[in-house]
Amino acid sequence: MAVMERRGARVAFAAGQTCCGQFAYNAGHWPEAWGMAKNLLEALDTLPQPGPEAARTTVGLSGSCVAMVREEYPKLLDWAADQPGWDTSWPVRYARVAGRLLEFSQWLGRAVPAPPPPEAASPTRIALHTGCHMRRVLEAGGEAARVIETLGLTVAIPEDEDQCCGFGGTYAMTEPKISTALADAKLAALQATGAEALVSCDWGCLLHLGGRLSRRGAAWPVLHLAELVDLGDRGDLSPARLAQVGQFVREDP
Amino acid sequence: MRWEALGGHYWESEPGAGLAQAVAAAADRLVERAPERMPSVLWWPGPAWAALAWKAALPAGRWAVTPVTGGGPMEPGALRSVAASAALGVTGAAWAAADTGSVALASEPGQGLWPSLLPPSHLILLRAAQVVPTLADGLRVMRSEGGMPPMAKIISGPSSTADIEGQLWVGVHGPGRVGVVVVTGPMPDDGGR
Amino acid sequence: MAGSLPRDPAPWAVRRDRALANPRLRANIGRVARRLAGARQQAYASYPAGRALRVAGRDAKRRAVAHLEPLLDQLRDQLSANGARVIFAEGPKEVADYIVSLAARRGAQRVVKSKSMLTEELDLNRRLAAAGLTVRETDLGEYIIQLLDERPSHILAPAAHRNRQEIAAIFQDTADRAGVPGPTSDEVGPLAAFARARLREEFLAADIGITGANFLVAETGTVVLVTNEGNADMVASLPPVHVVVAGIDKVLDTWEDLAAVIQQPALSGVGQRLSAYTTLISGPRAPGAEEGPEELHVLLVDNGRRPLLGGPYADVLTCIRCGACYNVCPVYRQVGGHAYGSTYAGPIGAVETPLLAGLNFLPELPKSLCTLCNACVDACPMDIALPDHFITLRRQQVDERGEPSTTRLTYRTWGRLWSSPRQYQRFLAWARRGQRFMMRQGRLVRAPGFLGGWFETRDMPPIAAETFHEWWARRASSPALSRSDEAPS
Repeated sequence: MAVMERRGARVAFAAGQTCCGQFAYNAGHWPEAWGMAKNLLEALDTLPQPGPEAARTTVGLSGSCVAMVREEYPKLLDWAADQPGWDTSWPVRYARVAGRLLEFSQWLGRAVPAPPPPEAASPTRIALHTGCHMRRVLEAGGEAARVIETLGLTVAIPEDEDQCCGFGGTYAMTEPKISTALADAKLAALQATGAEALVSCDWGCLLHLGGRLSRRGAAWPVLHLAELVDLGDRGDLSPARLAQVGQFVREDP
Repeated sequence: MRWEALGGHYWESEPGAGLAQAVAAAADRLVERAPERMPSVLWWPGPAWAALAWKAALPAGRWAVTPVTGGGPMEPGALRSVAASAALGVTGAAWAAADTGSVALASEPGQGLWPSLLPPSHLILLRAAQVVPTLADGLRVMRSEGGMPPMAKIISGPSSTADIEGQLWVGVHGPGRVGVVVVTGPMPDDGGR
Repeated sequence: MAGSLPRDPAPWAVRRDRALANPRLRANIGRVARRLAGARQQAYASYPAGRALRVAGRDAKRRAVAHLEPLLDQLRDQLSANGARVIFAEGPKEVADYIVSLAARRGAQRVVKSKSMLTEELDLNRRLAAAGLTVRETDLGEYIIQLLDERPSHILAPAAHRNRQEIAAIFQDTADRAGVPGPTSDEVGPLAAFARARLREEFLAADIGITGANFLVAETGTVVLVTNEGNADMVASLPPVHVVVAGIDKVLDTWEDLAAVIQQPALSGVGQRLSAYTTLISGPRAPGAEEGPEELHVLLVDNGRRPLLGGPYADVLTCIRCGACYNVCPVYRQVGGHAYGSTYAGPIGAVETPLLAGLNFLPELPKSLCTLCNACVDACPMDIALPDHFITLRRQQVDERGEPSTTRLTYRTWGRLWSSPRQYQRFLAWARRGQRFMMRQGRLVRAPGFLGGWFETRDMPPIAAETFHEWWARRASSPALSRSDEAPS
């Protein structure tokens, strides 16, 4: 929020929102997914609307959730149209909500002019993990790297970067062994870059990879892109500061 | 043509005396000679190459050539064992495609496919006018010529496999060495290409 | 009618754990998959025409699947006119019975085969062997796994799970039994040379050759085979009888359609513009000719395919078995093909197997072998909507089969709690109280039900003392708190 306000945005939060429902949708539990989807659409549709329509954007902090709303909700709506309790206003509300929805790095990279990168790039390396839905469904994988570069940091892309980290929503719970094998392969590739910290635009991947590091007792900092940009705004991107902010269990402010 | 990029050998020649020399050079390059044995050749390029003097290209002192010139001069079943023991098979071609580097052969009366399959080396005689730009063009040629031959094959490089550790290896069941001699320049029956 | 596929009797958890506990298998599979996936990317990058071809090929396959029955009739008529015998076969039993009686009529004993996933699907080798026939696989990879008595672990490279040393060992063993010299080393060249020499004898001695088909062209009655080794040509042209066993989904309308799709198996599968051998068979040997089979039999097999026609999963029938989806799939790279428990593995296998054999057949496939990363649909040259199919199959399973009631209840409760702001607040309050009993050193380390799967290997941070929702509500009610920098991260 601080990052957005510093860039001149007036920020509102739809307090009624909970979850986009992707975990239930992917697992085949569509009635539950539709319940959550309705709640999210309702919440986002009732946001206060400051300024002209063109300036209104809804920003999501996880690529996968944004991809769910933008690319999968139409399929869920198609299904719901044949279910009891269908209301013909949903497609209209959906179009309104989805039309102004952007993922955070998309918003940062596109909607707001980027400051020029500092003269001397810092030797601090950031290992970037691009979530699968960010990369393949939203096709927005490139923005985050550009944003990190404007902070003066070096982006390290791991080997097999297009391979899934193994999160996959409830897959991480129902198939923990395969999910963990994928996490370990992903972490090995990410850490092999020699980077100071791991950054992603997907909370799901971060929770999974960070949770795995934590269980292994490894203290490699894990940050969301927004946290990294916030540190950049405050002028301290030192490895020590990254390590502090990127702890697995965040300190309360 | 992309033939060489696929691991195929390639020669060009004018029609005439030079052609026999090119075929001789190709045979020498494609066949690995064992000192104690004269290599055997199954010569079966089909009626279109009847005028080519194979005896000049593959002289009797250096090569043991079995020619098939239509009509089946051999005992039934003999052809297969000749093909299976030959060091080199020589065939003509139906057409070739530049974009994929492929040469097509069709079994027809007077032209068989075994010389392209059983020997460790295979030499193809091709006229430049038979080369079409794309594979789709070649398939169109084949289709427009009326009835399909019982068997045709499109060869794109030597026999290969990646079945062991995903590593490419050349020469498994089919020929490990394939070469083509392309005859450039006008031939009397080329129709101007 | 549902088809019949072979299945590994071991349950999923056993197959999975067996794979995960085999680091050599995982390394071998991962290496091959990575190599092939990279080759595919390079091939397209250096061949811009390939992209337009891919779309044209996809459209040709889709048109054919949309008009399958008339095309099959045309194919049968055309092949018959060319002198072949065409038989429509329902499933494994009909195919095996036909070949066994054909062998009896011909007095045939020795069968050579080129690689065919359909005959794997039909478990044909075992059925023919049970009837007393000797069956020899001649594709190098198939030969290796036949010697090892295994099933293919990769659709293009059946022995992808075995490394050179393992292959050298089984070849040496085979040589010892036959009393012939073994391979001279465990390098690829000597291994391939050993197989060439052994199999050459079998080609020349065989009574029947069996191949699959990559494509069948209706307008000319042509069977199209694509190989790199050249073994299919030998199988199709050396024995006196050639039997083609092909799925009904292989048919194409025209020669133009064939031109559109013919490069795809090589381009998407191994990164070549065209396989080394594309073989086009339209009939048996011509009268008076010496080369080619005396008899050509073409068996067109359903085995669970027809019920998919016209339905939401029909695009699965456009699969050309290139293996591109296997190579990019993260789960496949971890567990390899055997863990899938039947013939087809990778994303297409996890989707197609229950579609062919019924939703109750290996029901774990749609659920347990996909993280929904979408890599498969990006790689698939036919644009088969694999991730969508995974999700709809899961939905169908939830709807039709039912899940364990505890899982069902978890989703119900979870869905209800997260479907309204008020319930969500209640959930947070409840979870905050509950989590105190599930923490160690400030981290969540346990959870109830299947959620506990997470905590077998991973931690989770606890719910914050003040969530963003709560901070926002507090800020809204207190003007002093308007500085956003105090927001919880």
